[in-house]
Amino acid sequence: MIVPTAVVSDVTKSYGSRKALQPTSLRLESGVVGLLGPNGAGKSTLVRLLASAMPPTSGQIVVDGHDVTGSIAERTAARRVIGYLPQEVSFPRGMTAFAFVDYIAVLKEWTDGTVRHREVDRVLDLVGLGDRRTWPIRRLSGGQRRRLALAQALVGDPRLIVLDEPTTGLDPEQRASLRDVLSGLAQRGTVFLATHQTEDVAALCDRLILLVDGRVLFDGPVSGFIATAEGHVWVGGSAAPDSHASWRTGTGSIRSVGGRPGPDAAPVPATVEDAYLLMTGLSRTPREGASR
Amino acid sequence: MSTTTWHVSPGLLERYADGALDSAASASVETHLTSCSACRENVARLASPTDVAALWSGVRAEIAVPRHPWLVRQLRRVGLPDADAVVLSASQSLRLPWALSVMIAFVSMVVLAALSDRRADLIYLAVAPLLPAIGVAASYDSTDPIREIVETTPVSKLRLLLLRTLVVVTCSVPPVLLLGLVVSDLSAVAFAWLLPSFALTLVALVLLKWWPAWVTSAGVVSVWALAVLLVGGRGAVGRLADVPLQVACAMVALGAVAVLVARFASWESSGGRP
Repeated sequence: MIVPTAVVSDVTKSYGSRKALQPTSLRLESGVVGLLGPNGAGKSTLVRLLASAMPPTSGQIVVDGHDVTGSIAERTAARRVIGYLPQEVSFPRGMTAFAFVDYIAVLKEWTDGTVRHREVDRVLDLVGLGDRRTWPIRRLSGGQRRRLALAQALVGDPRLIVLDEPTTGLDPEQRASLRDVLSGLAQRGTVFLATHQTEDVAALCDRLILLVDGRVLFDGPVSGFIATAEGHVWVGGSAAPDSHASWRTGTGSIRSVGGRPGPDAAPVPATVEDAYLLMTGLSRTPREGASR
Repeated sequence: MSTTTWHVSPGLLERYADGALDSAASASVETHLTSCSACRENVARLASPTDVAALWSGVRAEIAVPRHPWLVRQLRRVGLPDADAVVLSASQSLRLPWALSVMIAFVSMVVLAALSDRRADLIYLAVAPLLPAIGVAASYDSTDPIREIVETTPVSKLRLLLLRTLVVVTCSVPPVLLLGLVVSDLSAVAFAWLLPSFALTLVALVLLKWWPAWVTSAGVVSVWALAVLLVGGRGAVGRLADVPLQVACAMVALGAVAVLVARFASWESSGGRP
């Protein structure tokens, strides 16, 4: 029997009278899980709940067998196996890359200096910042800072790594390198990845969750997600009538997602982005395509 | 390129590589190695890859590990654990209370020296208790730029709070106390501010749950300024050191401790922030 890394049971979150997350249940196992959704869909809320950065309004979250919503001992035990990268990280002033990760390692209970320093070196090497360890953070580029923020999440090889927009600010080469790191980590635990980058999901994730208006609209394999858009994507000389999205491609033709095909339209294989546009479009304006 | 005509014997070189030589013999071999490339190559072959890796790792760590600030180095000397030293070094806000205390103590000394005795008492008692409280507010974790990351780590948040508070109080109290003891005519009230300061610091910790650091600081400054004016402003400065006021401060401090304890107990059962 596969032991889940995390189990989310009927979890909700409200900010005052606004309900950011409707009752949600998830079971996370090894692999990379992608979380997609438009701005304000509740992605960061779900990410923060899973990382134990805030308590849910109701429901239960269990990480590695420990109830995050239970006693402080249980929550602390859960936090020992969680690595978290928030969407935005403001670094303390005057610190070097090494000192920053060293500080977080101490907070993760790595008290033995020698062992801790080895671990700090390991994660800095892992994100490609080994040769920048003594640099002050203010001298690092935006992409390097993002990788530094990621490095602290990897300290201790946590079973559940929760990342909010990890590839923001990274160039294509750095993103490819990061995907390699994350897929390696997913062999031993779960990488939960909230992102706007559909290409990251396509390249990296085994499973995809689509969140819209605080509700899970899709939860399944990426191939299944793409399949929902097969037969609904066309390329032609003009936009398909009633399409949810259409745009001119580099070849000059118009790619349309949803709606009815135009007279000169030819069907093309769907991508994660097509499926995302179709599903979020359907959720906003239900029309004839919604019944398909 | 080798510049010497003699070489270290293989046996001696092997014992050197094994670390079996005494310090004098090692130093002699090392002196020779600095000028003999042939012996350097031989000793490199004798060194085990594990030892070289460990040595290299040590060198890298020595270079990369940043030096703690002066204050934290002093605390390390008196037994502060390494992990706590790292936490305090990372707390940039500690520099503020330290700088604030020294600066205000210095400015106060100049001002007090220029004033008449009675006013000196009053100003001293008005300012001294506030320094630790303001310092604690400035170093509270709401001012921590990576608060969200810190929140999800297993470290005890109560320990972090108390560690920061302890260091702020430790570095802000001595300059003020010293000022009271060295400036003439202040010795009578040199210790009278400690209990009020304790109470104000704890009240600041309670208020920081709801208020930002600057509002909290302004709040405790206003309340204490009012108390000083009402109690000691009519020429009865000594009343600030009287037993009733000191007892009142002790009661306020106990009340604040009770609120903090209850808050942490509630945090334990609810999963929220203290």
